[in-house]
Amino acid sequence: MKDYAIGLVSVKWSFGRIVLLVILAALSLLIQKYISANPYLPLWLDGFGPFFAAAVDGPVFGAAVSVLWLILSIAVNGFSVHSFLLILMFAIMAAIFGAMFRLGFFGNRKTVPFAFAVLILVDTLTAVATSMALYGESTFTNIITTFIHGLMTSLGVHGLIAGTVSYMAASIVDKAIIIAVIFLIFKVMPQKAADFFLISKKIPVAVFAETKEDAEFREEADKLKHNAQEKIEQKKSAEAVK
Amino acid sequence: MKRVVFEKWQIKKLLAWFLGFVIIGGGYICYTTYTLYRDKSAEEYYWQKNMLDREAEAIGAQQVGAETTRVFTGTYLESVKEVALRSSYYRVVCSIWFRWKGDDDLDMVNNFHIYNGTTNKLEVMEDTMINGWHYQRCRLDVTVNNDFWTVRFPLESHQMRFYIEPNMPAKRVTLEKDGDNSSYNPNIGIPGFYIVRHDTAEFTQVYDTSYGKNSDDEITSEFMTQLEINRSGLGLYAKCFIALFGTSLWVFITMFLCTYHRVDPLSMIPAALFGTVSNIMVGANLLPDALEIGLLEYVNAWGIFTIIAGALTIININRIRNKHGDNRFAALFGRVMSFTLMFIVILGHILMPLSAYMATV
Repeated sequence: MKDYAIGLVSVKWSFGRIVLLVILAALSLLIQKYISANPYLPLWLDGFGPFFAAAVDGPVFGAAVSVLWLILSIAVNGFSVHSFLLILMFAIMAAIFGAMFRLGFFGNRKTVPFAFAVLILVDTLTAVATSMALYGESTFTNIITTFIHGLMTSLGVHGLIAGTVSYMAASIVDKAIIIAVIFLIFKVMPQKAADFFLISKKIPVAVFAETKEDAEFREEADKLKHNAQEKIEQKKSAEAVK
Repeated sequence: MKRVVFEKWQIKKLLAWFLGFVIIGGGYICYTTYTLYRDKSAEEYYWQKNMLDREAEAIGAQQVGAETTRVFTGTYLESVKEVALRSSYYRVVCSIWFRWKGDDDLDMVNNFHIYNGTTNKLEVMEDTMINGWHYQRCRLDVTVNNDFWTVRFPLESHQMRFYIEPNMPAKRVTLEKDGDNSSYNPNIGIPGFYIVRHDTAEFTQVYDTSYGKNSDDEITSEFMTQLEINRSGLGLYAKCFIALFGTSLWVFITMFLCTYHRVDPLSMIPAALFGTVSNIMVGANLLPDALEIGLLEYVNAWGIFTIIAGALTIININRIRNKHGDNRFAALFGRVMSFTLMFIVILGHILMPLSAYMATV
């Protein structure tokens, strides 16, 4: 039997992909400086670059944007443990988002809430742990975390729990907006741009089968459809050449 | 639209194990980093707390009495001969001086002791009068019993305090700080540590007894010297955990073998578990038997979690292959679990020591 051919960690490289890699890393740096660092905004959005890359070409490409972002950050601002750990966190988050995206959990409406919940859970646990290790409290502040943390403190809930809950609330808003923007870009992106950056507008969709035979039937049907579609497109391009 | 087909049992297995690793591992890291950081930040609180003589404020000057002789006291730390964590003591050599006016009968240098300490050697260096002031200086070699806090061992810091206590009550002798003259030898070398800070303060001890004299509780005026030391590097940390890192790496190798090469490496896991468990003794032998739960236990438990999670992953991959005959999903499951576990474990090994070590600039 063949190994699972989903290609979870495969990456296609091209000139357009490299340009996209640089653009997203630079954008992440700018967002980190002008939006995330502002405690009066209700958003961070600094995960947009790695998440978009992960949606385009899987977990490895998402992590690659994070690595380049880290290199740019060190070049511009110097090395800091906080930045290093923050960007490492985004590499992990991008990898998880990319894997779930490729496995179709963000393509099926029924699984989107669950996949989103998993993403928020991982983000919260890694961010809170990092923040506790460096500062002993949750320091990823924006208006939402400040408000909820203050509310919980006034109710007598302190420390680890207050920090976790306030971060989770802010992360829900932040990641929801990031993912919504990514889907919007996928929808409205001109085909020429998509071809240059090798972005496939076909979002994978997870489908659930009751039995093994049902699953094999669906996979075989998809394969046949795909082959037929390829032949039709080849015929069309051959006729266009004539 | 690209379709990715799953059977229901595949989704349940994948998500249940992924969430299990993330919740248990992530929750554990959050808890341990929080407790270690709190212990670290408490050091500043205890340092400042010991600089305040709260009892003196409470009892007031009247209870001490107007006849008391005010003795200006200072210390100069010459060397720290030994810091024995396992035996709960440290040994220092220091110069102590006393300066007072009047009270010609007073002989401070032969009428004091170190609270909770054992004097190894006392040499009287000077005993003179300078401009009407009595001046006495001695060199003291003393062993002080100390309950070292080991929560952040082997990346811990220690605050060592010793109290000079006169053999007379506060009504007779009151020790006062001799300006800013107290200091320490900048060339003090303590293996494995560096000195963070040093300070002195006055301290009033109110005993819960009058020693059978049917009078007020005994009050003594003391002089406190404190020194804070911090681990100077990661050498001891590496020594305590290098075997654990090796066994964790071995577990990752077995997981990748099972995922990518369809090998059943389950028989290699018990050896790794034995290596991790016996590694605990390396650190535990350096600490008192009544040790506190802290970094040493947290990292060792993390190593055990790594091995058990790796073993469970391999068992699941084997089961998928044998029961369901599905090599494709087994490979996917193995990839997802292996990378998830690797990320979580590496994150834990970075964050736990980071939260424990007190970096001073």
